[in-house]
Amino acid sequence: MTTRKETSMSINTVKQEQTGAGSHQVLTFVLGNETYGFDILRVQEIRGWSAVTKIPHAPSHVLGVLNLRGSIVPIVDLRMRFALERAEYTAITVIIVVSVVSAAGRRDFGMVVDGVSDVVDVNTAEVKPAPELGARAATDYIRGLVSISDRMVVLLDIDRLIANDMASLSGNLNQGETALVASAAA
Amino acid sequence: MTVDLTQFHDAFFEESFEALDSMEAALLKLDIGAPEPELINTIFRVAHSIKGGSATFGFSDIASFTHSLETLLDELRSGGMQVAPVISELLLKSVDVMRDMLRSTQAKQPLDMQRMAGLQFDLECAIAQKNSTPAPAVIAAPAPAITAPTGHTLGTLAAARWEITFRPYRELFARGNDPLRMMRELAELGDLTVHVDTSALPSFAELNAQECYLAWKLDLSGNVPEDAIKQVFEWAEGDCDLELRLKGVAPADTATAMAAATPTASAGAGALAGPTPVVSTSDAAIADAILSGKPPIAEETRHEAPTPAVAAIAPALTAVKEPKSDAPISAVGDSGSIRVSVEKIDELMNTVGELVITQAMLSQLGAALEGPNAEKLRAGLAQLERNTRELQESVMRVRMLPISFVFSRFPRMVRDLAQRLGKQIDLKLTGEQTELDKTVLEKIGDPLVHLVRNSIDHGIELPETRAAAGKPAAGTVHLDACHRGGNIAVEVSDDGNGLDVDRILAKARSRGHVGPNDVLTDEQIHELIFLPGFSTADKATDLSGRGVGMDVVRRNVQELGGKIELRSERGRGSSFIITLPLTLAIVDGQSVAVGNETYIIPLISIVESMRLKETSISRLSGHDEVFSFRGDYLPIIRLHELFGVEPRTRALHEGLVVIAEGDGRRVGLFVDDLLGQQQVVIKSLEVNYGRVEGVSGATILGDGSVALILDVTGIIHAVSMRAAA
Amino acid sequence: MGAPHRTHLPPNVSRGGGAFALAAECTVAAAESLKTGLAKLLNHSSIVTLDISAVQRIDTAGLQVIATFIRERESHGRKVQWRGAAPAVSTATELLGLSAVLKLPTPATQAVETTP
Repeated sequence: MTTRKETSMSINTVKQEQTGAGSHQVLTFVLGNETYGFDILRVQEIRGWSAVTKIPHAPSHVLGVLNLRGSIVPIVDLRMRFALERAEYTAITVIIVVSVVSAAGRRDFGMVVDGVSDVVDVNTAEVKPAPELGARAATDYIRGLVSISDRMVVLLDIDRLIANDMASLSGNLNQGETALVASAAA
Repeated sequence: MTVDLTQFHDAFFEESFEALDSMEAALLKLDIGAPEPELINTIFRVAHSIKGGSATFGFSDIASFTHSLETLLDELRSGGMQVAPVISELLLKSVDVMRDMLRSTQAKQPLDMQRMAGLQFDLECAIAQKNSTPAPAVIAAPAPAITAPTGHTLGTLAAARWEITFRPYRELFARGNDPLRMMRELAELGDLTVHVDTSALPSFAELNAQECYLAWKLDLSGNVPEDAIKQVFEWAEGDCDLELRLKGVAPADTATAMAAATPTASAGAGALAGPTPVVSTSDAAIADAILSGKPPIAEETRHEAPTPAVAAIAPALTAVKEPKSDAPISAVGDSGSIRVSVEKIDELMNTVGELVITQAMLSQLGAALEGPNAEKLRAGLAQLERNTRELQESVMRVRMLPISFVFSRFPRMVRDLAQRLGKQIDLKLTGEQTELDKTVLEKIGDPLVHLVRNSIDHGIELPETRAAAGKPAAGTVHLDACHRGGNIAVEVSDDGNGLDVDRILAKARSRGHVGPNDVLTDEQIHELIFLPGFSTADKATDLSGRGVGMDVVRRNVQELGGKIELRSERGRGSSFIITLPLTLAIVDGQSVAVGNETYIIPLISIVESMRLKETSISRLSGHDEVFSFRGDYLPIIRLHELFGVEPRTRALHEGLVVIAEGDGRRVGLFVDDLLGQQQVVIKSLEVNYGRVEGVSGATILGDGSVALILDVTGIIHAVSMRAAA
Repeated sequence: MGAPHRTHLPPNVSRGGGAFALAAECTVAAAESLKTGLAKLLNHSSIVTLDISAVQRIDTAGLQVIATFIRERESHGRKVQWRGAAPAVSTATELLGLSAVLKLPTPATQAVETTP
């Protein structure tokens, strides 16, 4: 618990610091063997794992919803999202609650990750573009790659990552394409 | 450097729209042959106030138009002009024009100057053509006593001495009010002596030039009824403390004053109606109503249109006094009301909702405790639950408004529609005081309008047709509202020719909704009109045949968590009943368990729950399971299958079936267990996630976990789509 | 009935030496500006002359500013006198019961002008 508290606190202090021109602050986290990161300003809070309520026929990486201070927030398993091996949720599994901006306005999401690492300053100039991986359009949520302390950190565009899910999130109980599909934006 | 007055505009627009509504209501109730001076005065005051406000804010076109209107009304008021049908029409049109002008101004769009100028010209012509000899002021209703707050009975010919204490709140100026205007009006009513109280004036440096620090004590003597004084301060309601005290009465003729007015008294009052606008109410009950702000008509009383003018006044006045937003305002003099913004109420509701959830959680934790203090804690928690429930109910009541707000737009609409179609319609409104949540109120209007239009357009026959059928030439459209169970039931019924089942069936057949050999009961045929795009109108009249079908009405009602039912008899009429929950924030639900998941089914959708015997279950072709219930075979929907949940048991007779209805159909929902009934706070799933068919929202249970609230209609849809595929 | 021509109004003018001419419009919209103008003369050592001859419209807010001004000056033993006449001002003063505070001259009395 202490680790999480400290991380939460450090995020708060970090948010108040000025970022220099051309750099921004990134929260990094671990998934399997990879380290990912995204804009710290998107982070609402970090909390431990608790049981979610399943949503009928949601995509498999959407585990369900949680009560987060009175709001119903969907929880996404990023491992599954990135098609990595599924892992067990342990006492140190962490949920990062992020705020995403979409066409429908602001939405909150929780992402299950293995663990949270440091908050780092990233110099925009040092970010390299992600290599083209053929026809896979999925890489539009990768902002770029950056090297931090000899590790490669994959920078994510959270808005795009979640937005890609938006269309498939609302469930048609029949899973067929026919009629009466309730759209997320409805 | 002028100060930006736009910050004061909102209040002005809000109040003006309300005032126009009351003006319209008064105009509709005006009996042309015998117009009540009270109504004409109400109408005059509206025009006067809007003129004043428009001038203050520099809306010169509106002010100019309203000035012409005011002049015409003044003539009517003083008896210089007779009320004729053409005048009434002109005035109604003026209401429309003023509404449009205000809307355009509010939206910063250009005014329809041509329409305005045209109508203004008509007004001026009417003024110019007035009778040169003033007609005697016609007072239709008897004008008996007015009850002063101290219980004195005041005859219309008495000279009264009033002591008025007027203490404006600081923001009085910001609301477009000016005490100077009020003093002027009071001075017109009688002899006025003004004493100002400057004790609250700060130092010059501290003075905020736009706040009012002055207060007054006024002595007003003359033939002044209490009402007249209250009307002067009407627009400052909620922005001041006002006290009226009757210091002395000198009845001119006690006998005449105390009795119901004789023609002499009436004529006398009429003569005085010229320079001094004496307002005479027609009923002590009305006066009480004005004092207390509550309508004098009890809930059970029927209220028919055309109504006797007497009873009509109170709603007109209360309509002015009750804001469209929230808490009902009592009359000036009580100073017991405030305008509250809707956002604040919503916030309050949310916080109370959170409190309910927290309290439920505490109760759950407390239930499991052991130890010496556990009992005391549980007793305390039980008390907390009672307090929380009371608080919740109180807050919910704050947002409840009578359905009269919606009903009130119908007299005008029905009148116009009937005229246009050449039909005679009697509109009956009952149960207008039935209260419902403001958000439900706002959304119930459109479906009701559609139903009423349908009634008038398709239901009620032309007068000749009706006469030929032995019916009265005027058809009746009846709007009724009442509380039923934990819901509100709104009924729109008519005595027209009912649904034409043959036509409907034929149309359904031609569209392929129904097979050529299918046999349907009348009820089943009635249900067909809820299919999308269904309309059996010969030609799409521009009123109701234009693609907005009953399916939209049903969907709107369902979105409010309600349902709509229909009864109809050929030749006798139709009746649509909309049942709605009292509030959108909370639902009474039945918790059910399916596997490890908990779902909430709204009680409004549940008919009954039962355990099935193996013998009562049958299988149709494929694996469709049905069971017998009250003479019908209902399909069984396995929720575990629908939701992809591992159930405790798959054997139907080992679980329970909840018989639910939606869209006019009944089904049996198969669940593992029933977990109890509770009132839950509805949380939106759509804000962060999205819309899920079959799920209307979510709630947070006492243990902090999330439970989905089911939408029975959505579930039935999903399953029938699947079956059709 | 035309629109009040607010845009063309001359602002409240301080003529220096303790004289202040009030604008044609002294209603709530102009009350703040009136206050600012008068503030400059609040502590003026000799008598302040308020010229109301140009005033066409005044309301409670405007009169309130003037009343507060006069009250404060008098509490420090400083004088205020009037120049000119405006029916709008006299009527409003009477209706609001502020005659005793403002002490407007009746037509019989002449305002004595003090040369700056």
